[in-house]
Amino acid sequence: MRKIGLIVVLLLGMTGIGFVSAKLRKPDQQFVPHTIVYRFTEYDEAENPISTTIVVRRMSADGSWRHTVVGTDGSITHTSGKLAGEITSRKTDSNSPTHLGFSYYEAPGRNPAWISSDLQDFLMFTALRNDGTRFSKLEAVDISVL
Amino acid sequence: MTRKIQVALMVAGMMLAFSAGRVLAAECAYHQPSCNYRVSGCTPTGGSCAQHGGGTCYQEYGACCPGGDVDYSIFCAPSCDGSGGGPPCSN
Repeated sequence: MRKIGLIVVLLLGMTGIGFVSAKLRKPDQQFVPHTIVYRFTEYDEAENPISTTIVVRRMSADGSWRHTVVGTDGSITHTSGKLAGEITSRKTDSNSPTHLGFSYYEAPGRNPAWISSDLQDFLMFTALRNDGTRFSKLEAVDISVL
Repeated sequence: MTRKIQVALMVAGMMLAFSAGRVLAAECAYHQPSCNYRVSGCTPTGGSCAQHGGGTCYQEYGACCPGGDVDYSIFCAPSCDGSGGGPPCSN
């Protein structure tokens, strides 16, 4: 009888520990689920556009993303991954510029980029070659929050 | 006659060099980032990976850590899963 009582106490104790640890566990990073349609343009050394593709980026609340890339020839390619954390802690305000209704700030550094704090995502990214000429430009042309 | 052969060889050499230049230009334009970054996304880009063991030429981009810069890399790989970007950021 005493053994059964001990087992019951142990089980209740483990239940309590499990409950508390679940409550204290840090929740997964939450992101605003959204879809961004980008126009992705590549340039030659003279900065003439040589190709344009459409990239549909879907971002989930847990930070996982998936790109569907539609080539000019109709080909479809997929890439995917998951954000390891917030891409920026910087906040925008009412004076910040907007693009497609979302405020952004211009990232410092040599590669021009617009970053939305609210979406934790790029609205524009221009990749420059080492000589400073444009290599590619990723520019949001449509954004929808899911 | 010898002069004609010399000119023909020179023209052929120039055409070969031009073709080689075009092939080199079409290669995947490898690019190393100047920082470690959190990968935000990855998109296929033009350029052949035949000289790099096959695969697809990808452009990966993200925000540097620490710091607020952004950077990118270009590489050949069988797929792009966002695991690049150098050593993981500490926070």
